[in-house]
Amino acid sequence: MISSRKRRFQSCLVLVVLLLLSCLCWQWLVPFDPYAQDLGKALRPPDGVHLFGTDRYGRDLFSRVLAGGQLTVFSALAVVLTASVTGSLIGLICGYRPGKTATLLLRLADVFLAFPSMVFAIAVAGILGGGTFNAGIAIVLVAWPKYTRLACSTVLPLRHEPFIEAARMSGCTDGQILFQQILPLAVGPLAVTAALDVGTVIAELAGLSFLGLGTAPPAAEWGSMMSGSRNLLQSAPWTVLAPGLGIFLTVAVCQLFADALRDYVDEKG
Amino acid sequence: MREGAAMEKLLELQNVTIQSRTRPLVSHLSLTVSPGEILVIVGASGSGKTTILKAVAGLLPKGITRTEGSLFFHDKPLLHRSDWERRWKNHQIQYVFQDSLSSFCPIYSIRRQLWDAVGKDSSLNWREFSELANERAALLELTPEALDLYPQELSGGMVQRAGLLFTMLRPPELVLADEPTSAVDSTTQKKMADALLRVRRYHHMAMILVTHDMRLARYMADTLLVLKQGEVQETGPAEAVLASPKSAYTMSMLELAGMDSGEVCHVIGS
Repeated sequence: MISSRKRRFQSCLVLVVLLLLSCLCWQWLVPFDPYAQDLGKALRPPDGVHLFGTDRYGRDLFSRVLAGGQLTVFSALAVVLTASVTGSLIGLICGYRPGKTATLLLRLADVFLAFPSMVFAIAVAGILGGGTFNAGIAIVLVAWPKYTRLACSTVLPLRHEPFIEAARMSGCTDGQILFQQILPLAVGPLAVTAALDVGTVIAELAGLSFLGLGTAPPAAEWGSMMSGSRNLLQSAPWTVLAPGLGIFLTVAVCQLFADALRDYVDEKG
Repeated sequence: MREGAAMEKLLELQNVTIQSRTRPLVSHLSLTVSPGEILVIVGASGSGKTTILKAVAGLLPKGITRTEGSLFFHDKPLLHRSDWERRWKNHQIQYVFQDSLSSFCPIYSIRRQLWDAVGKDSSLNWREFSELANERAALLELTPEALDLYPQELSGGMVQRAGLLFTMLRPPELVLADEPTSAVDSTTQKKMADALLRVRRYHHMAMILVTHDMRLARYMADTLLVLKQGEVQETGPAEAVLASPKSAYTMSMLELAGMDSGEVCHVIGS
């Protein structure tokens, strides 16, 4: 019998797959060219033809939201993957082999954690200059410490467990112990944190684009689209709400998936 | 039958004192173990039996240190962690943990863990190793299906028997067994003891066995060491110690176990 937690996890997984498929296959889903301008149709409100209306250049917003999903979602995934893998590796090593280097790295993580993440990301992106890549680097720099802390705190109590001593006594190398015995036990909380982080990173990337520090126009990216239309918020609110809906739905799906994954991992023990 | 009386020293402890932050746990302990010899350490809880095993294994926990004395393995001193690590890698020393369940990783099956620990770098392939594991498991009354389960799915006694399989599949030069039969009934205990004696006979494997159980001690020991609050009360050939105990503590232990001194033919499980 399938448990309710497993069923919820499977449903959320289907939503995530649908989201990723829509981001990957947007070319076949868009009714109009997202970059084709038609000033004659500028700022049309949502109707049967243009589901989300059009922007100031007459571009179909539904098509732009679908097209923007690819850049937004995959940039966020790349950022989360880089931050989680780097942060977790540093945390695993610091937890397994405490010493001066580990202490130094952990204090560095504390320094990064001490700053409000968005303010720090804005400062880094400001120094590096605009662009999707630089915005990604800025967010990786503020996101890795939490994975380091989490991985380290998971490894520390495991280090002296008899089964780790037993593995060491049976001739396993440190690498084998770390990756075959410890990492699988730590991966649950790390994966849940990463899944929760996807939504946050999408919002942060959109925030940087909104401030002009992320993806630059005319690329279809949700934050940049919102930023470009912010002075139309009162006269043509759909130009801001359409990309906002994209962000809202994606973040909601990611959060739901993270919650379901956490429950599922808890159940599996 | 008593074997392993060779004069060569496999392990030697000279005047070893082990202390925690507040008190001495083992005081001025000296002992030698020859290849193939079974040394049984008996004593009440808290007498320092496990501490001695951990010191020999190089697994003393933080806060507990050897403050005096020396350890030698094959006449070479065990000083630094690397000295132990080399012996672990060469499968010269093996430890059978008291809490067998926590000595298994909870996310892999018993069979997979046996393979990782002792099968992978043997000359056998997975199938051959698996068959050998089934065969050795049968000696301990473990079914092949039990080997495919996760440790937490087995009973306490089954996990304990599974813990001995490492030794039976790849016998080391020295086994340090910390109450390896505490969770099983006396019939199974005898089977486990017989299996260990058989491995010792074929592979000339030495063993330091820690137990409360005087009957098991009598059945297994070549040499017996009686410990009380970290101090040696009596040591010598098992038959001699059991036949005519010199210390009052040994006598009281024998009495508590319902064994008269001189009752050498009594075997466990019968």
